[in-house]
Amino acid sequence: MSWALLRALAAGAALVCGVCTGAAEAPQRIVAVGGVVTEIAFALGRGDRLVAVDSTSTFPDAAKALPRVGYMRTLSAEGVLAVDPKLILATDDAGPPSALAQLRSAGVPVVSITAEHSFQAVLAKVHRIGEALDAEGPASEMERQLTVRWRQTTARVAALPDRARVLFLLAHSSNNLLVSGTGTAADAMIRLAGGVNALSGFSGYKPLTAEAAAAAAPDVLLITREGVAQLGTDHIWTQPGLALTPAGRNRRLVSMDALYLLGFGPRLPEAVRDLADQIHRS
Amino acid sequence: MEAVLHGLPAAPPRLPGAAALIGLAVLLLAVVLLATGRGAVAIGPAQIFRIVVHALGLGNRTGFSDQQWAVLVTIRAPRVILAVLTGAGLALAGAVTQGLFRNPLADPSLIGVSSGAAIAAAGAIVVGSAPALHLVAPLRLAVVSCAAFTGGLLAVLLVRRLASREGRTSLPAMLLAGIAITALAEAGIGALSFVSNDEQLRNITFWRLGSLGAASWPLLAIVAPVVILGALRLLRLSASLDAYALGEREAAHVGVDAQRVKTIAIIGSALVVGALVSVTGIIWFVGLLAPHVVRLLCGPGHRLLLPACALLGAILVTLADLAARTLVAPAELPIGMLTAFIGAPAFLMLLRKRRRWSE
Amino acid sequence: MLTGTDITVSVGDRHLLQGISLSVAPGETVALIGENGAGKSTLLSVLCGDRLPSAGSVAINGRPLRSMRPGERARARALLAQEQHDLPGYTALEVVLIGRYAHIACVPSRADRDIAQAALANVDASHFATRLMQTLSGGERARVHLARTLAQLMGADHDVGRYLLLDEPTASLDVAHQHLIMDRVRGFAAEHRIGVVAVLHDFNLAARYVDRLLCLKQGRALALGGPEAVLTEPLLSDAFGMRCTVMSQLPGGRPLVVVLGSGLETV
Repeated sequence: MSWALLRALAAGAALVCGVCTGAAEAPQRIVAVGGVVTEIAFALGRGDRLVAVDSTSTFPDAAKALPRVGYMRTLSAEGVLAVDPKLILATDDAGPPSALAQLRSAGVPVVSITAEHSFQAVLAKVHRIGEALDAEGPASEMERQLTVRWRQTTARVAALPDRARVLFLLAHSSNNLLVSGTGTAADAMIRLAGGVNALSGFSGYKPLTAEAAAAAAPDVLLITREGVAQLGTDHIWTQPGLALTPAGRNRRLVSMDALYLLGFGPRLPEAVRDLADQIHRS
Repeated sequence: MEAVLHGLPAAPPRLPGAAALIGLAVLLLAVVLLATGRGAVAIGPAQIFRIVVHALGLGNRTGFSDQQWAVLVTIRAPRVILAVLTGAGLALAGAVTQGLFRNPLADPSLIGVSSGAAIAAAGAIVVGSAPALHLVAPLRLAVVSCAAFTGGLLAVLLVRRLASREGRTSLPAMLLAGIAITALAEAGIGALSFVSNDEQLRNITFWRLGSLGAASWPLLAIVAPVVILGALRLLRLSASLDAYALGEREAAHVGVDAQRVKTIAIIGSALVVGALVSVTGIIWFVGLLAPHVVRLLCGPGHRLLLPACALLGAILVTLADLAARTLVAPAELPIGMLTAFIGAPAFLMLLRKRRRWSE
Repeated sequence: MLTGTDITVSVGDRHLLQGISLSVAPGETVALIGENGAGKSTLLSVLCGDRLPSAGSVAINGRPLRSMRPGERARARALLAQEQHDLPGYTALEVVLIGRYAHIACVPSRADRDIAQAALANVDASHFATRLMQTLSGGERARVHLARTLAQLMGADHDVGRYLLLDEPTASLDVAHQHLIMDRVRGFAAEHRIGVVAVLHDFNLAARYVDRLLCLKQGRALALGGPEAVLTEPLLSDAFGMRCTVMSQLPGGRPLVVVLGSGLETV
């Protein structure tokens, strides 16, 4: 018997075994918590295994058709259990912790997906979700392609001539605008896109004050598309202090879809490139 | 004071004591069954029975699904038990505080326990999420609860200390001190809210609105003994609280050890309320409403009032929690908000009715 | 015996009571009389244990009052204060039962209820025993509280000395009930061998129903003795600043004071 035939037989056996064990292990009835988790699950071809998602899962369109279990930070254990899940994939910042603990006590495994804001984190998310959904093959392929596209994006960003000062606005409610300091997803995106966060003295989100905005003197305002829809561009420009900034004088406002901009998912290379293009457009 | 009210019947239209207690107990059982069966996952009474039987090791695992088992045993059962304990504890502490201060508007929050717990919890939320501490989420929750319990107790001890001189505590001074400490705590919470970031602020607000969502068996193992022992001790104050209706001085003439009764009532209430608040956050109105309703139905005698309050409080909170988790399923309403929404107008209605009998 | 020895109460440099001594035997009725501010209520509060005297001591049945625990004290003496809080929602019977606090272990027994009913009967209040307190008149409420103090002391061994302290028990009563109550109190004292000390404004009422009177003026004891001995014209005009005449040798053997006018105008 030739080595070629043996190798072919071994490969065939492995394939058959892989299919068999894969079919036995492939988890069904999955709940995904976190927009990026849902996005990756669908991208890996496992969207059909999801039975419910959280309210931040807005991409792809197929995800919008799935039943919702609530907002990812205020889950109700019983609400999640009602859909009879066998596995839960949740980002690290899903909560409250007591709900996740109750789900675990109820016998449903909860896989935690990192919520860090970096390209390495995106690779880790893809890897972990691929592992959990028995899609290691597609996951490795996706990681490879992501790395290629990322290199292209970073090269493009490095070639930018200047660095725009960007202020990110979070619309909590119409009379409660928050701005982002360091340590947030928005801050990370701004830096990755070759910009400078106009506010750097604090971490997290703080309420917008006129003086702080004027002192920050951003060239561009960054906000999510959902935020614009909630506030209206006119309302934004009438905020005290914003009108006095370079961004206000030139009416430079960039808005992008929330999950696309801040999700740190498989579309990160494109999102960074788009953001870099838009904030540096003069 | 000449207050002969003509036209009122000679005997008060009260429910006889035994009937009231039995009626309330039966109602509580029915409400507990209802609450255990309703929710995002439906479980019928027969299935509840079979699950309980199996959990006790008596029956076998048939007649219910795994999902129902998981939901009932790990989520609903501890939650309903917590609701019963919370309602009973808050109502009992409310009735005891009202009896001690001879004021139907008194509430354990007047002696500072709620605000003390609130500011301690807010502080723990802000400090506990500091990155330097590297506290993992479940530990953070435990820290907040411990802080809330300690804060509530310390606030009450401080209020009592401020109102005491030479070993004798003055109740009017306690009320004033309690109001002052509450105001101070609220200012502190305001300051903490101001310096906190978005996530901390959200946690603080969430905590203050009250929720039974964190109920679990390990939690109950810690909270239940404190609440039950505290409640049992408070129940034994019935005779002394009736004597207190005469006024503190007359109560002493009749044989009440005033200082001892005050200590037990205040510390006991603080322990019960503190333990509950540390786990559930602030739940309004139960301590005010339940005693009022019971007084209307059964009269002011504390031997009946205290146990009846405990039962009625348990019923109210269990129903409120049921509404909180089913009205906007799969999301949950904060229960403190619900009890305030329903409790406030109900309380006003009761006030109108009450004036006919007492003034 | 209820024994007050050399009782002095000073507030700053004001003497509310100075060197008052009084012994009350079981079954005896003593009245405290004097004008406003003479120290009657102060003395009563010291005898009751509410107030610690600056000097002197009080003993009940040989035990210093100070050393008695609240429950023990409540079984030895009962006080009817001048003012009472409203007790909305409680029935008269329930209020009287509160008086049994020091005797009740957990729940009122059959005996406690019987005692409460008897106490109400004693003050002619049985017919409104189940009425709510806020539906009663001032006088009716006063009688309920008196019944409460009676109930507090009833039911014990007659050998154990018990003492009833009353601060103006007839203040809000109509005339008929004033006499009825004083008569009942006197009978109660004799039957149960309970010593009574009552602050009374009306010295004629006192003369009629008590064994001895203690007359106070500005914190000092002017006289202590039977009605005939204490109620004399010179003493009364000194104590009360009034002009009066005392009629004695009346049916019943008790003196009657007839007030002629105020003694204050005369220079």
